[in-house]
Amino acid sequence: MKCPYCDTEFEMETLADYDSVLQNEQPDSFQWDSTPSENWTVDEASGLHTYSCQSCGGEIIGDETLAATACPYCGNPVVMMGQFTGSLKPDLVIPFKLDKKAAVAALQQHYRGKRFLPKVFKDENHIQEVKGLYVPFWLFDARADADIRYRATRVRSWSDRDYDYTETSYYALMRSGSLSFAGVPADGSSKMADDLMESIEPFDLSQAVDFQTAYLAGYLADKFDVSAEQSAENANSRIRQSTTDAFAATVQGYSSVIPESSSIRLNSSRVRYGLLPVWLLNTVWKGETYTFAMNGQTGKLVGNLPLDKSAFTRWFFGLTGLFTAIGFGLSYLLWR
Amino acid sequence: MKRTLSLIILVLLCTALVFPCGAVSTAPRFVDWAGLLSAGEADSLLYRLDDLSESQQADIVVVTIPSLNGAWAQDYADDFYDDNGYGLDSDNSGILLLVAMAEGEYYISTTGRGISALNDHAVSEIGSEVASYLSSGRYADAFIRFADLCDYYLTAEAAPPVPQSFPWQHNLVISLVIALVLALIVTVVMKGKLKSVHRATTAASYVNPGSMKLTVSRDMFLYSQVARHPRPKDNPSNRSGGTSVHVSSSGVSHGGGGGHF
Repeated sequence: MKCPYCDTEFEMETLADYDSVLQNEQPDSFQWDSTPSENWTVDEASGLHTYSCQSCGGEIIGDETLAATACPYCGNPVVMMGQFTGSLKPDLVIPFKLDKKAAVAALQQHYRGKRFLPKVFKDENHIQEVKGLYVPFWLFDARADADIRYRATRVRSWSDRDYDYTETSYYALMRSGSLSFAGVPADGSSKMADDLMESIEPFDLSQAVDFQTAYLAGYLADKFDVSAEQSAENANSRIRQSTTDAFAATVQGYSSVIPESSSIRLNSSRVRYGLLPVWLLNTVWKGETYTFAMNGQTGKLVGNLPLDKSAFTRWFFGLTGLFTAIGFGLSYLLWR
Repeated sequence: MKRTLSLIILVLLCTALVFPCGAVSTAPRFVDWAGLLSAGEADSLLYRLDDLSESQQADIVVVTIPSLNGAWAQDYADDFYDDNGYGLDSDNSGILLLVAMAEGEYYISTTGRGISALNDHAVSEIGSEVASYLSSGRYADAFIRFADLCDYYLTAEAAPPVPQSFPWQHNLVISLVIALVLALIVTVVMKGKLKSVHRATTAASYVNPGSMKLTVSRDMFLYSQVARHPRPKDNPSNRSGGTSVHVSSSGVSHGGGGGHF
């Protein structure tokens, strides 16, 4: 069969085959099965904002965000269950593995090797606050089924005495398969910056344990205020990107590859609610708050630092001078 | 009388020692078997060729023949050069222009320093100039022009490279520009270290290891198109100084080239 416009020749069979591929395409589908986990038992929810210390009987009245603290009278760690009343019980918790000291040490380490960090910032180093916080996370498990079609070309060139030839072969590539994800996290707290939480990933969920209130003792805990449905958007885009990348890696040996259509569907999806350990460190410098977060499980610490503009300028001109001298010297040596 | 005779013999012997035979060409540098030039033109051309050959220490020879009689122009020119003992220095340096009237062909044969002075591009330049004179019948002009061009190329080849002063201004500016770019890259990388908070775009670290299953992996060939482009005839690399060399029947290396007029 010949195209009347461009004279390209097609095999009849190829066209029929290609047509059947086109008809089988499906739209993306990102459905999360977010059936609620267990609710709090009546027993667990009985204590409200006031709490009697189990050890000394002292009464503690917590504010709304406080869920776990230490008794101010006897120092016994306590968990105020009132904060969790009426919401979901977490499915899992990763207990803190690193303590406050480790967090402060990690911050010192974080300052190292950064020449543009103002020296004053390093020296004064007033850490206002170090908080161990269980951050609510939605954890998405799913198998992503993907059907992706690419348009690819392969270019071959050769020459004879009079002409250079370029042959471009066009291919339709079909890739179908699945890829499963476990525990893609999205933080469920609107107070937490998403980029900060994503930067301290990954968390190792194999070390997660079933939730017990005892784990909260001595730490702060937040409850989610962003629903699983809202958080899913973020997880979806990450899963879509990773699936696309993984399938694109199976296409090799072509000069150009353009995805023409892709359908990614989630199956046997599950959302879990987990509390993950995060150390938060705050410092205020020149009226600006700098927040650092450390993964309480792996010790990975992140946080943006201020720039010493004069150091930047000094280094820029110093290096320019140095490189100019080296380049000029080299050119003189080569000339001789 | 005997004394005078022995004196003359002595003087002749000394002369022979001072001018060794090898350094003097046996044949004249202009051979006009086709009879293209008048006697006056021939004399002035021969004078010019002799003068030039001595100053350049390379024989510049012009040969005209009525016909090649079926021989190759290249072979004829090379053999003529070799057989008549042209060439002034140890490399037998020289350039010979052969003009065959019946065939309307010319050929430039180069030897020794002539090969290095005239690359393929120079040979074709000289050839096309000479051919344009020959085709309009201006034979004397053609040969004088040939001599001038040989002079030009041999002089250019012999000239020592012009000593250049160190281009410090130029080098300083280039060093400065490169240094600015490098310094900017280094400082921006160092500045980037201050920022450690980024959005995550993939979930690659949460993929279950080994869970990737490919159920369909089909590469379907659709069609192909062939485009062809004519290759450039004039290979531009010749311009920059390629020189083709061949060996004549007497085992001497020659360069050169020819054409029709």
